[in-house]
Amino acid sequence: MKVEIERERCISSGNCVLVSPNVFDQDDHAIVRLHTDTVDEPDVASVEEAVEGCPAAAISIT
Amino acid sequence: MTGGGVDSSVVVVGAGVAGASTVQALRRRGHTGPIVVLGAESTGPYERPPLAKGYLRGDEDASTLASPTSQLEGVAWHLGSSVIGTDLDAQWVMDEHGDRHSFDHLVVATGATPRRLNLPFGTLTLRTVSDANELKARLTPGAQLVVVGGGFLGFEVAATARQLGVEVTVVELSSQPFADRLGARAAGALLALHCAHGVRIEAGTRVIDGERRGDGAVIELANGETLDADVVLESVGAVPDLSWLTSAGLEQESGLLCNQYCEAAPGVWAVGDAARFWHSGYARYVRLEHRTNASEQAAAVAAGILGKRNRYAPVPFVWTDHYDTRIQIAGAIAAVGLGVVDHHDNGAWVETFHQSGDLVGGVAWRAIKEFQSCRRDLLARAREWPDVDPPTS
Repeated sequence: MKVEIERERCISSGNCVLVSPNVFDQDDHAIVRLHTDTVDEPDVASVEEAVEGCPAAAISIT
Repeated sequence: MTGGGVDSSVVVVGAGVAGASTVQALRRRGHTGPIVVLGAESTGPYERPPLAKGYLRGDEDASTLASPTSQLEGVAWHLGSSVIGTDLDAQWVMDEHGDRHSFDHLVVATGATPRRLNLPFGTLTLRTVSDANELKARLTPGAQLVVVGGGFLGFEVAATARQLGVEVTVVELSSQPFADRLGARAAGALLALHCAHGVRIEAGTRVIDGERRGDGAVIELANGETLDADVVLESVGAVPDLSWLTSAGLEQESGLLCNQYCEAAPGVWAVGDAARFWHSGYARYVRLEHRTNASEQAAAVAAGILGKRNRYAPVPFVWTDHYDTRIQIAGAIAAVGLGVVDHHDNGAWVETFHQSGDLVGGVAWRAIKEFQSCRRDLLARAREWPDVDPPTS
């Protein structure tokens, strides 16, 4: 699974890091960045949760 | 009981992020029925928190605030169209143009409007992008801004105004600003930060009189001080905007009272700043004017509309930005007393609060990443909360 983020949409809630810390990270301004854009099985469910829980709809998966 | 089908018709009153997030959550969860959104403002949904910060400072423009939800398919957006009345039995709302909109489910997402003190001179408030434009035009270098009401919004504007070269005085009724929201330690640190940036703070006092002078005002405080202002911002809280629901006979108590599923009556749901819902973990009614609550509650309401009601019992989470400092708050903060502090690099710290040995809340000072473990612990605790039913009357 591939994950994409729209940094300009991010409102910096940190919800994605909260549920999926292996994939998501925050910069010094709390804006989302990725550890990796390729998600393997153990993290799939948490990334789906991050998509659902992003208040700004800034995360998508393909 | 209203049906919970995927093809039910939904009317959302309010086109802010709470309403828009509800629409988005409905579609994401497979809802295919007609959705009508009615919004009083002429603009589509947008992020409000930057209005006091990046937008006011000029770092962000209206296009970066806009929410993508307005592009969802099969949703009829009626913007610049306030709702003036409703008949819940007949299941319709009426907009200001006299058009009726029928629903199976009604979502109350009208948010709140700034409280006004009826001061004897002109003041601005900050809630909408148009408010922000008006304020921005007045915050010229060297201008004197008086902020009446020293909460998160008032002090965020104070910080932005200082960055714009504006002279700032904040007047706050409480002698200990922020203490009830942040705890004593972070409250003290935040006030010290503002003092260090040259903000004058008049705490424990209030405006007793004043008069217009030019475009500004001369303001008299109860402590005997007199302030000259070129521009005055009132930031003394917001009142849920529910006047259009008065005839519906639903209970209101500074917020539309709803149960643990965010349901005020069968098929009538409330989300965001307008909702006062039964928090089954805290065993009390709460109203959360937080950005994160707007979208989390929206997901709960969408699930409820689709017949999958779940108790909505969030761990409250909010942040506030001042200069280069972000303060995050999660859970319940003790109004008095100090918590346990963990110090990190570069002056960052996290303070955690406990009750009977259990973690109940935390505050983070410039500790964005370090706070994640506290938030995780609070969420884990929340899973053990008892499910307390609302009182029956």
